[in-house]
Amino acid sequence: MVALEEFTKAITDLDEEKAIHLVNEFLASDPSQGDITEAIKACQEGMSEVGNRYEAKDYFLAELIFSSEVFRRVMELIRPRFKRTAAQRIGKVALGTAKGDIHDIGKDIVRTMLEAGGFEVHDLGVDVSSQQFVNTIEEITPQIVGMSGLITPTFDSMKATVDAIKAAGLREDVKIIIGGNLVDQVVSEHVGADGFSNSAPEGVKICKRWVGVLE
Amino acid sequence: MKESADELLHQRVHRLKTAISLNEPDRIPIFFQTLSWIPHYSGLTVQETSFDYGSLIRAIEKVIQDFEWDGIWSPGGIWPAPVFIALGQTQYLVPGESLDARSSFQFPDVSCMEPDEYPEFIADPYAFIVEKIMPRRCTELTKPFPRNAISLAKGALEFGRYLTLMDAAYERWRQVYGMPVLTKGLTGAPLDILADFYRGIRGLLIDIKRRPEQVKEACEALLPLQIKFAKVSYGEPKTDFPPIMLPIHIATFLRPSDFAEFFWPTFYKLVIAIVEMGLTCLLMLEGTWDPYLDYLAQLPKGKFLGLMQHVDMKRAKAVLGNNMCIAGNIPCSLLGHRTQEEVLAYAKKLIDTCAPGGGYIFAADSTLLSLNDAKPENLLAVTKFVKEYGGYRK
Repeated sequence: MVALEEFTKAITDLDEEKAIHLVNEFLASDPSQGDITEAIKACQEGMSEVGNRYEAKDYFLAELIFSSEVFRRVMELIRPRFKRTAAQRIGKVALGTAKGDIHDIGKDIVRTMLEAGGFEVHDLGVDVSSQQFVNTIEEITPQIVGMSGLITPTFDSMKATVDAIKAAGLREDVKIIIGGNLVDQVVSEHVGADGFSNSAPEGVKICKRWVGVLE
Repeated sequence: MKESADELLHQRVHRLKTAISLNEPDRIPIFFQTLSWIPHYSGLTVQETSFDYGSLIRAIEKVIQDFEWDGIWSPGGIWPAPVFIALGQTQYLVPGESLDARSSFQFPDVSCMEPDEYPEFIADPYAFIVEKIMPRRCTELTKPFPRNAISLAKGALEFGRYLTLMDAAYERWRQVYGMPVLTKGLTGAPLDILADFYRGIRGLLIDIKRRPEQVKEACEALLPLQIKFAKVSYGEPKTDFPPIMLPIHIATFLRPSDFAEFFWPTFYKLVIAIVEMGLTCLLMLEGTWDPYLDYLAQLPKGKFLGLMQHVDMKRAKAVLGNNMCIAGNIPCSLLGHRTQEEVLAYAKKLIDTCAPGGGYIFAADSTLLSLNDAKPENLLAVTKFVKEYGGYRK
């Protein structure tokens, strides 16, 4: 039986070969659903530790991107064997790059880290209109809406989306977080978001606090 | 008496050159990185100005006259859309086509080179780019001869027409308004080019983990082409003003050890070659460059203009003050959304920190794309402030 700490360490150390090898070894040992849940948690802890190393300025964006890729490959192998229940998710996030912006590198990092953090993420893609965000809120009732934008014109789309959510009478039902290299306090206030971050791991922590999981 | 265009041109160029060479000019030079802000300021869409080059030129002339900075940012980022269309180009998204007409050009992160193609690339990068990358990027080039040749000719002729028109406009701005364009020509560090144009950013960053030796070899193989690109795009004569433009995207994704191993070696060789050609260089230091300042301090003295975004400017001045002219950092979020008082307070603090001893130019923290990146009244107010407060007492 594979030791769970080895999963965590392989992910944290970005040892892709080791991580894939461990997963295959683990799955070959005919694990129970309980075992699989624990293994996934161990991988998630690895991603959380990657986030910590990023905040400590040991890891940089390249490591966030690579860890997402390793985590994706691991989960691709595990997922078919895992009967997931809704109770295991800590919250739902509707995520997208706002209208007029097609950049997705940052958004994709956030998506993976939110999933690794226990959230159910509905990724709407790029160039997402206000109406699409509103429709998604109505359909899946997420606790959190996350908007990404790399370039400054996107901030106007983010503001338009917040206004549309208000107009639809849904503003009180969601917390809104925005992110991107040029997002700051001034932009966040202009947009009318509840929070912002330039760091994916920090953004995940903010979301966890909002659903009451983190102090 | 109002100064002549000739006098203004001489003063502005001298002021900028003095700052770049790390001396104290008569006052702090000022410019703003106005790009698609310019069409918006004239009530035009980016689409219009990327098809009708005359409308772009007129929109720039309005900004030149209304703000009277010491230089005008090169409009190169508003690409001539007909060239892209002639080639069937798929990497850059064109405003008015898959993007809103008012959008700036955007570049999704796409890869048109497979990881197993590194050996072929390394063996002959030029052949690989011409024979594999370009047809993958430009659908017209995949058509059989003579269709592909006709499309290439159309695109090349249109690009030549655009360059001729713009060169004439640049010369007109010098003669009529005394306004120099801030940069000439362009190149990129090999690692950046690999990421931006061939493997994609995500692809390249993963390659650094999975096949580090091939990445390094690919950078070395590409280096001569990037030196040549600088040489040809700048043209003649090779002189110390305007500087050549060097955008940088990939560097701040890297942890310092990977920056040192993968980005720096071929970047350094490239910029040394640029300096040896007799040029100066504008480095677009977007993102947070604090972890890498000690590397920049190794560059040849007085030959670089570091245009900063989020760096700690006090530390940048301390580390780089003796070797590189620094500029930038005033946030577009302030310029676009806050009061004149807040803008001027930030400007004063920035000037007090960065100006002493010279080697400092006043500019924004990022390229102005949206009209909301700077309120015109804030730009006017801060320009007036810098001209009054930014004098060097002799």
